[in-house]
Amino acid sequence: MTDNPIPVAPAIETRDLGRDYGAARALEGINLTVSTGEIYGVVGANRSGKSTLMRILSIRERPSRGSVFLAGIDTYRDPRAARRQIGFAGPLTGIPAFTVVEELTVMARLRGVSVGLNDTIDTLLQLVDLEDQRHRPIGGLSAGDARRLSLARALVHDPAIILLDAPFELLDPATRSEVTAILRELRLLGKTILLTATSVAEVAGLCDLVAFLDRGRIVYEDAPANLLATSGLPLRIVLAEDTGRLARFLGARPGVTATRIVDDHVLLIWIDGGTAVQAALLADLVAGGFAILEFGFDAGQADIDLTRLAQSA
Amino acid sequence: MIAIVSRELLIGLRRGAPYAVLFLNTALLAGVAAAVVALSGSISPWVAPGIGATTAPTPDGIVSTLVAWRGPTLFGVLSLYLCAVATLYAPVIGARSISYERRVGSLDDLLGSGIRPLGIALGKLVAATAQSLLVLASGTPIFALVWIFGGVPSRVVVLSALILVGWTLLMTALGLTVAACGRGDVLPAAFGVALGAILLLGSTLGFVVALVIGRGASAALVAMSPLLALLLANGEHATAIAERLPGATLTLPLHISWTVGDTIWSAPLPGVAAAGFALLAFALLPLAGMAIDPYHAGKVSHLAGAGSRT
Repeated sequence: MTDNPIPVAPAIETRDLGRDYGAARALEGINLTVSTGEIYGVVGANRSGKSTLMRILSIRERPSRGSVFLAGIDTYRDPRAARRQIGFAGPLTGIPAFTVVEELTVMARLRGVSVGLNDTIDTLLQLVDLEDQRHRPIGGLSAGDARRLSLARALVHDPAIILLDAPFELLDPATRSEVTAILRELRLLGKTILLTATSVAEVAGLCDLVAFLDRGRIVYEDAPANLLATSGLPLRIVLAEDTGRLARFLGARPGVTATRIVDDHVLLIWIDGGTAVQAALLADLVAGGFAILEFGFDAGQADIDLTRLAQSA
Repeated sequence: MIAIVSRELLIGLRRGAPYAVLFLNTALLAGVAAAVVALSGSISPWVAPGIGATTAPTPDGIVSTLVAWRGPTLFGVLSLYLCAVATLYAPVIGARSISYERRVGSLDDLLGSGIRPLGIALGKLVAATAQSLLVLASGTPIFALVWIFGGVPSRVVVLSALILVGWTLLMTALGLTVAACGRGDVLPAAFGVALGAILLLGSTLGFVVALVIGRGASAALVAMSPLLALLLANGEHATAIAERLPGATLTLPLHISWTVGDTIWSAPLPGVAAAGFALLAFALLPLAGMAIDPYHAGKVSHLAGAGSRT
């Protein structure tokens, strides 16, 4: 026996990754390290390079510079082995005439799944709640159902790494919650997930780490809570009681730079400091006997503030 | 590869186009059959031997020779027709198997599945060829007339079938490779058909020109031309016609022979042509595989090692 731990390669690692389209640089100097079992979010505006990054990570597009390792496998040396490690879900592509169950069956067979194929497909359809659509042609699916099918297809061979390009796009809030729950379940199963989004609000409660991609460069990488804390967003507190007592309590508290009462039960506060200040504040509010219904960053404004963050970066 | 082939067949047989072509082919051949039946009733029994006979009563003109050998002649004409259908149809099906997938974005899904790009190309070739052969097979019933007329040995039937399969494989591979290397939907298909037609007509024309300028019958051109290979598949029939061509003292290259050590090997030239078409088809596949593979070793060699892990 040895005390030295066996080094485990990161699930996803990129080195100085870059992609050019003619003279235009779509990606530049991307260095990502995603540990096994982590959920990693890449947030950025439209045309920031998110989809290009996902196409390269899913070995569908060749970078112009740098290298990608998936589960320790060099994608240049053994792209087939690397492809077997990943499941990719993006905007649904496929033969429109295929039914949902045909698409999954065909994809499973291509991936070499043969044992328990029908059971696997039934489980996946149940997981993404598409059982009632199983015989529907995929060309006729709604945007939300197409996203669900895309996710099911990515999981059909039980990959270690799951890449999701804009998984919440075009989804209604209820479906977003369902997809979020599925992703949390997958993390519990030890899967590594990398996903993209256009706002921190979509991924704040889900990801372990978030990177902000701006014009092809990663300008910020941190835990979502820290990202929100440093982005200048206000904390939104919803109370079961009137906000007057809370406003008086906060007015005298160090670290709170401003407060704004939205209505009788909702208050916005701006704090100076990171997650530690936020946690201490919450503890004090609980100790102070405030009936708190919600406590968190007002992430709905995240896009605007992240743009400002990118400019300052 | 079986997964790719079954997927391709599932896609191909859901489209309307193959059925439209099947219907057209069947209707056209039914018309030809009706014409042959009408014509055969007006042929003089002096030059037309009895039904089932395999030889003719010493015809001296080219037309009477064709009539006397009406079974083999009709067989040859129908084989040439099927060859033309394969030249027009197979490149389109081959090209579409790539360009359609590119258009709907599913080629990326195939590549992402971890199957070798060469395996994808091979699966597509087999499935697309099967679809083209299905169209050719729809013409089979008209060969009943040939059987009634008689005079076509089973060896010729097998040889002709091999030539048609080999040529269809080559035409499909041509369309597939052009589509893999190019972009768009219609253009690769059209380019594939044009290349096939040039190969078909160019080699046949070259053979005729070589004859006219006195260079003799070129075995190499026969091996390149499915038309000539099909005509020479029935050596006796081809020789009978050649002997009645005006001023022709022609020796047709029916066999090819080569020596290995002390042994002389010989093979029917049309059979060699069929094998050549098939081999050329499979030889094109690595090119198609390379074209669709963004991570082909040749494309990432300049990147490999850049930013490698230490």
